[in-house]
Amino acid sequence: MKEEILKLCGESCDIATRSIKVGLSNVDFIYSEALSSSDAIAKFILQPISDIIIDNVVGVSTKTIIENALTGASCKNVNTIDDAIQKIFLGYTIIIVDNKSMIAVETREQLDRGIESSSIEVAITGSKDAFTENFNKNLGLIRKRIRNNNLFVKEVKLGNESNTKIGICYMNNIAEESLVNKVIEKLKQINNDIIIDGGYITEELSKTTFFPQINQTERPDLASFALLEGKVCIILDNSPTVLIIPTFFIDFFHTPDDYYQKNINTTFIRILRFLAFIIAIFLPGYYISITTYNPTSIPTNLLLNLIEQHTTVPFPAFFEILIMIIAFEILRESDIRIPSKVGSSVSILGGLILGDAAVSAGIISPIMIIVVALSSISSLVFSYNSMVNLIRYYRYFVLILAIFFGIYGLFIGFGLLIINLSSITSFGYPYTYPFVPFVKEDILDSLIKVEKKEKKRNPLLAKKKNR
Amino acid sequence: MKKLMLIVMMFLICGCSNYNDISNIAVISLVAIDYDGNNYISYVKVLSSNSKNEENLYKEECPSLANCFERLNNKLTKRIYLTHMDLLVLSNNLNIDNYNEIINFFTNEETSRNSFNTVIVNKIDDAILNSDTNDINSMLDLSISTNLVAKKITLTDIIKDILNYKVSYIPYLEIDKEITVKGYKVIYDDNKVLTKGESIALNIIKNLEKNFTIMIDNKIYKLEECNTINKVNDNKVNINLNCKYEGNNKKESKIVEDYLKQIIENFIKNNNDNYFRYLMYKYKKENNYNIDYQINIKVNYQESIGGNIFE
Amino acid sequence: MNKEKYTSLEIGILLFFLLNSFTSSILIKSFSNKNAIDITISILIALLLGMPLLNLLFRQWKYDFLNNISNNKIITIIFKIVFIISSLSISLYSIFNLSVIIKDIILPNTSQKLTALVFLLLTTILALKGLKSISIATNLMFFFYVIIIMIDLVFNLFNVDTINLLPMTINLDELNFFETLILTLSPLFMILIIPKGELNNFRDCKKKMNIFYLIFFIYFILKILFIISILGEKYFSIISYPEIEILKMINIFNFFERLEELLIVTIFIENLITTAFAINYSATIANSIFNLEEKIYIIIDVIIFILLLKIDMLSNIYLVIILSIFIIFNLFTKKEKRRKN
Repeated sequence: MKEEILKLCGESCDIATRSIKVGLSNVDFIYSEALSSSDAIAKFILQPISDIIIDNVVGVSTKTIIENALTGASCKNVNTIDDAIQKIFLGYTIIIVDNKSMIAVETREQLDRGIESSSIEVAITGSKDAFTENFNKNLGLIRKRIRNNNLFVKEVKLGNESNTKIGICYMNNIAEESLVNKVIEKLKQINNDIIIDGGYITEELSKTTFFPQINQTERPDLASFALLEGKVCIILDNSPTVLIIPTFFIDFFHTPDDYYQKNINTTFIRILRFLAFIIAIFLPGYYISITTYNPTSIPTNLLLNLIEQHTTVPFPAFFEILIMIIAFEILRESDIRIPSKVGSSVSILGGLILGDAAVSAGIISPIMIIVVALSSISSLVFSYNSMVNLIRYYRYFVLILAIFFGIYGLFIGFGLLIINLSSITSFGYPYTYPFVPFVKEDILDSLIKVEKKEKKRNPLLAKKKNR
Repeated sequence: MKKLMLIVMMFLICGCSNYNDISNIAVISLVAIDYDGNNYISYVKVLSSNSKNEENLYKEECPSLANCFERLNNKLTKRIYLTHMDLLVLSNNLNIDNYNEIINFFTNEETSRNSFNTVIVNKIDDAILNSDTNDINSMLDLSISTNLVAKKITLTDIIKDILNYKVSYIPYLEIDKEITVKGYKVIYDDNKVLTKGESIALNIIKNLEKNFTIMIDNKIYKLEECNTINKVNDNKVNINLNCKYEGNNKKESKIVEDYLKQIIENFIKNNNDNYFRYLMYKYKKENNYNIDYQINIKVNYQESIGGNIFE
Repeated sequence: MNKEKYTSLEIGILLFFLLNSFTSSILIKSFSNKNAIDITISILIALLLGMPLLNLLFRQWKYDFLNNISNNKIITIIFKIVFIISSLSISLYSIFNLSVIIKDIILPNTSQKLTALVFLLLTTILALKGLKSISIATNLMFFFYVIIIMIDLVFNLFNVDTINLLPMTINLDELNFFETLILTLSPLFMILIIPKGELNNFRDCKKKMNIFYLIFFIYFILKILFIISILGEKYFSIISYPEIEILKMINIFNFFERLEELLIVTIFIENLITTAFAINYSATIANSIFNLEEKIYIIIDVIIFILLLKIDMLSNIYLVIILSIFIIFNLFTKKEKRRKN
């Protein structure tokens, strides 16, 4: 058996073996040096086995003696060689007794970074721990917030070559079974060689639109809130983000911080985010339509100011704004990739180039910089990357329409935005949830936050008997 | 399918024939029109942010207004943009046909919104052409509350007045060395300038302002919460005016009452009664008789607030 | 709560917008040269006469509209052709009205056909997504609609002069309740295409629809009285777009002036919803005859565009005739056999 296993693994250099004798039997160990921790092997396997005293107990096989002596917490019986190979690559050590039976003991090496605070979704108040790349740690972070036996976790293995472990969490007394079954069905249809990150699954599960239908989060408190509303969370091995299904549009305007502050602060901030959303999409288009098609709605002094700035610039307005927006996108992308030691000086350089130097060289008017900067900064209010991308594409689209049609183009852009919002369903649930199937209790927690008199569960997601 | 529609839409966006860059428009704040029997003389004032060494006043003479503005367009080499226009200045010697043509022109012009103030001046002079339109507008704003002489009127209101009453009252400015607001000028029905008393009476009858001050014999009297109600009964018109005088002197309130009654009677005697005919039409009464007027004025005074100290 | 069915509020708001389809352009123009009191009375008579029609509409609501039109095949085809022609004419008039307004107010030099074509494509995109999407879009746009109407109302309150509403003479010759009735109620009959099985609770829906019916007529009366009291009768009769004239008078602190170009979005929303619904209606019915899945939308677009190219002026009479025939045909479809559900 040992030779067969070694041959199937291609005699890789990290597969190690050891043979010892216990009583009259031959005991072989096979494990992967990269995935197993030698300390654990010594402590949980070799030490207890070496302490075995073979008394003259008749009728008890060596395997049973070894099984009872092992102090490792997770001991499983393995029947086939394929199972054994799978377990080796999960970090288990295979003990072969007399070339007949096999036992697998878990001796996994911790190959991750430990629980740190999130770098993407920053929290001012509240807990600061974030998910890591380890499946069990992630599940533990959720379980310690919901200490309830109703939190079920179902396991699916995906990826033809990678065999990644995926866990589907849901509250049995709140979430609807049809949703869970639908998620499991769709996951099983994924036919990929490797699943490294949640992004792969998001692409497969959602429809091809700009609007994100699945949320990815690094924060365990957000995942716990979602579970208690009746949503389903997907935890992936090797991925520090957890997917939340289904997601409504209004969820991208919420952060977990909202629930840790007073209601008035939260209302103000949510309205601010909504304003930022509108400004980020419509401001460049509005500026272009003012300066080229319909300058009626601006006050006289501002109009004269704009005329003066335009006469000094050699390019027409739409060309200027396209240059500025593309330059800003390049700056932002380079800021993400550059290592932090060089980062600050390069961003200062970029800011200076795009700022003062371009203005004093007479290439760009100052108001253009203000418009583009305001629009881009407003889009960064959202911590979800999918939302930032959405805003980016719609901003370009509305800008192009405004370049050709003026204010009428803005109307058409607005119409398209609403048409696209209204035609999406997130796993069968309407995307514009508290607004269009108008539910009064959840409107009080959407763009505003008011105290609810009766604490009811979400009527769309929760089972009927538990509302 | 939907993508096909979007792509077709993208290819259609070549209809930018309405594109006019902001540096190619001439923002106009003041238009002045004069008529010398044959030709319209129109002045146009273009705004610019740096107003040094730039000629911003243009003049044209043409038999019709549309021609004038066409020539001005050519002279300016920019598109004339009337949306931000603040003031229209008309001279004293325009007749009904002129007014008709001016109103038609501004209603048909693409960029004009008819929401600018209109004034009539005795002569179009450098004093008014070089002044700031904001100054004149604020002067008009103040004149109604300081001495109730004239309320500003927009071109839309003039059109509404002419359609309803067949007469309109436009503020009249007199330019000597300075600009002062003198009262109203009547157009379309008569062609005269109202005196100060008659203008005040007109504003009171039409109930245009609630709080104002008037000057009687060089003394200032402040009135508040003034409300005029005109009631029509057969051929009688009751003008009821209720005021509150900011003073505790019964004698002074009597002075105010007498003054107001006198100017209203004066106005009715010397002017056509278009407004009251319009009221009678609105209240479904016969229009052909002579109208009997009954004027009731009540000026209340308060016990605790003081008026003039020295008599 | 069922996530796929239409709630009663969605249907109510959809009813509101369908009733509102022609009021901002055609009906207001037909009210010129009439007294304020005549207009109020004709709208009230239309409201009263419309209530039995509304009840008939509820009775004619079927679980399966397309298969229950008539027993005879030829008559079914005639009915369907009438329905297609009326919905196409509704969409044609809406697109034409919007393109005329855009040409007059916002884009004077662009060709009218081009703006109409872009609008037509936008509405077809919405119509392609299905009835449920149309109702969700309607509901979302309703929030913006209400906000802009509030702005219009609040900042124009001081321009109201109630004397413009007098004299209160009733001239019986000048009442045009028939035209009001037809032009408000006929687009509503397009709502019968929604199968009754997809409504959440029909009794709730009926209640909400009655409420929104009343709300719409009260809103209409108040709107017209508001406009007439600000502008006066004679000015109201002369100018072409009285509502936009009112939007020009909004002046907040002398800073936010000249906002009418932005606030025209209400007219855009109204026409968008009506046209999208009408195109979807005609496509569904045409698909039941010809059975082309999505290509029918291209054919409909081409037909509407060709008609738009040829037409320079549209008068109301044709619309009133076509729509009255539409209502009559809708009331005479066959009764559905009751099925146990």
